[in-house]
Amino acid sequence: MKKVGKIIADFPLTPESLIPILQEIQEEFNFLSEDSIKKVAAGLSLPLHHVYSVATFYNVFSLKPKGRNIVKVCMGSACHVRGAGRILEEIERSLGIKNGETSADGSFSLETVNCLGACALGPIMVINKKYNGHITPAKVEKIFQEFTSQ
Amino acid sequence: MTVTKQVEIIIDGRKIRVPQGTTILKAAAMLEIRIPTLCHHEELSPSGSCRLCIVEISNPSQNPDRSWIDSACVCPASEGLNIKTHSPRVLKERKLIIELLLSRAPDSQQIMKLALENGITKPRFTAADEGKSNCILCGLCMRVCNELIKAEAIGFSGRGIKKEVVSPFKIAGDLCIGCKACEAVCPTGVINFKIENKKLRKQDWGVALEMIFCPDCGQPVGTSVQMEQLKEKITITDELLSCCPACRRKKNYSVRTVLHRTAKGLSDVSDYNRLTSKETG
Repeated sequence: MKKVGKIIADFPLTPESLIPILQEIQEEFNFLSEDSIKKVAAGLSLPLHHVYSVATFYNVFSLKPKGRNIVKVCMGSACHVRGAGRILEEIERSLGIKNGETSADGSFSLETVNCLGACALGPIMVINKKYNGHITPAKVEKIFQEFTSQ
Repeated sequence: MTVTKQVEIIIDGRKIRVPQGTTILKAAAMLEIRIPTLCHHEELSPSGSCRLCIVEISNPSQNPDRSWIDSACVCPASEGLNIKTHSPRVLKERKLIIELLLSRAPDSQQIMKLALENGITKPRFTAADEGKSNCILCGLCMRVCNELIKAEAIGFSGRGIKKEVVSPFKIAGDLCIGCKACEAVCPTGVINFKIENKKLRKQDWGVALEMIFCPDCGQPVGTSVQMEQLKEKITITDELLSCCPACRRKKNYSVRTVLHRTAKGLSDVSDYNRLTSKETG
């Protein structure tokens, strides 16, 4: 937990630093642990319930460990009409996890988003930061094979 | 020193001059006009979350044809406002709000009573949690805990349909003093502490605090943590402090004085009495 202290120390100790600090911790550990939330609250002299309410309010923060690789499937209107639902089903099948879950070995987390702002590429799925556009259920398996062989 | 500007507003046809920025709810109270509220408490910051105190506001000097709805507990008075607290539009919208509140807290006696008074027997809606929480998320419990008691044991988590009042990581187990102020202010009556095995408990918040019972009659007096805090604030012997109010009175001690001194920091003694009435009888 030494690292959390270091992250906090990088920011001015004002309430405004709360979200940037939480973002950095989320980035570093893939989730916000109970200890880290308590540390942030103490470091910024904020009530714990306040930090907790911020941490549970935003979707970017997770209180449970997320997988090493995060798969996001766009369910926005443009992707939806082009069959995002079927693509999500196919991804759930090939990863063996449901939407919002993390695989048992901790390699993948699957989540849906409402729009990625790249509607022209729809339907679209993002693995970590790589955008895979114009996907079809048939392409899903291949994309994951390529990804894991890398 | 700056003098606060006085403004003149009209509430239900009656004129009143108040300092600029006074909330409409407060101004109405000065005229003894009752506006229903659930999430408002004199000693706590306004939150404007129950929406029950909506009023119809217009500003005839600017646009006589336009009126809007706003909640009185957070809307500040400004010059020339004309406010209607019971216009047909207000009553219609308030009724809808009560229906929505009832769908969130269908088992609450208080909300049911309010609904019946407004001619609602069954809500048309179903809340996301099907009313299981019986909580209208007004935030009174957390405001009293944070602002007045300063225990900071509870807060909101999540948002939208997943929003709820929680004690993060059951931290209330460490921070709660067992004053039960949250139980006293809760407008739906859903917060319930229990005394089991000589401890004050609220399981979902992780609270289990040692209770002190009156040595004379055996009535529960308060938690030991709260008694310790009271000891710092008031001059009282341990013997009297551990007694329930009735036995304390019997011991020829003015309960009134205790309460008055306890209420230091609160502007209104009667309010403190009300807040703590469940303990002090």
